Amino acid sequence: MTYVKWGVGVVLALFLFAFFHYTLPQHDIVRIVGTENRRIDFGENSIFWASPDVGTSQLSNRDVFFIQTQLPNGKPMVYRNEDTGWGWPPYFKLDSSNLQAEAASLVSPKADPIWVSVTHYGWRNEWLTIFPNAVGVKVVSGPEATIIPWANIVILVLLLLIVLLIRAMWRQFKERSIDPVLEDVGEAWDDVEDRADAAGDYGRGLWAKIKAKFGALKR
Amino acid sequence: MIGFFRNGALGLFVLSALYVLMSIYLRSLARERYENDWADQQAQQSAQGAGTTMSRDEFVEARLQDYKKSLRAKLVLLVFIVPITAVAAVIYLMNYA
Repeated sequence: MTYVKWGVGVVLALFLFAFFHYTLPQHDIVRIVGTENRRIDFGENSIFWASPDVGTSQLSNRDVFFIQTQLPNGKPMVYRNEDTGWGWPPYFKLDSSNLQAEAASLVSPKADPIWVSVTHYGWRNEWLTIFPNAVGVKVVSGPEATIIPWANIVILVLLLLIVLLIRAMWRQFKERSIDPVLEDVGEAWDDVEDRADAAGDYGRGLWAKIKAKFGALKR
Repeated sequence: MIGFFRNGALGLFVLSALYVLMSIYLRSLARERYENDWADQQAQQSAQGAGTTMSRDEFVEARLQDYKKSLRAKLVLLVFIVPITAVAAVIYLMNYA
């Protein structure tokens, strides 16, 4: 039984980790190689795409901005650039067109690179054809620049505080409202048991007396 | 635009629920504190020799009336102000900075 509980705990932890790894922002230092606009028909990977530009209508296919980049190790990385609008994740990204223009202005050749830090969320997976959603670009000094993920630190600390607060609230509620009732129920049950025992003793005593009377009569 | 109003309404509803929960929790903490104060007062008074004491309920209710008016109870309104400010800050930083 403990294996089952342990297993469920591990699965839950993995799920939470994957959820936060997908949703929280990350930074990549890349060289922008190009930008483009592609028509996408959303199929079975549709949950990995965001919303149409704020104010436009929802269809099963639409044009999506892409930003093509190259990582310092030579590997390619392609980001999409979609509005998240008022929906999930709560990035409130409304300016994907502006971001596309910014990215286009930072395209640089290999010989003379402009290294940028792309803030993004999401995963790149070739098998599912899903792309991370670029949320911002910023020019940095070079591929070795250090970036401290302030937003992630703040968000995770806040989440920890909220979890502790919920725990404290639950404990307070339990101590003041549930435990006294349980104690009363326990005491009432003990009373019932005591009275049942007393009745049993009385009954046994009576039966013993009756048997004694009959035994005396028989002889 | 409609998305903004829909999600905004949902957010306000959630914040109201959080406000109610937080004020119940803080009042429960205050109540416990005043009950302990009363117990301390009883211990002190019996050590010094009896004086006139209020019953526990009267004592706690009187203190709770003061608590309701105090600054601490009003601070729970931060539950509304802080998330709304945070969202406004995110919108500004994401789109205009």
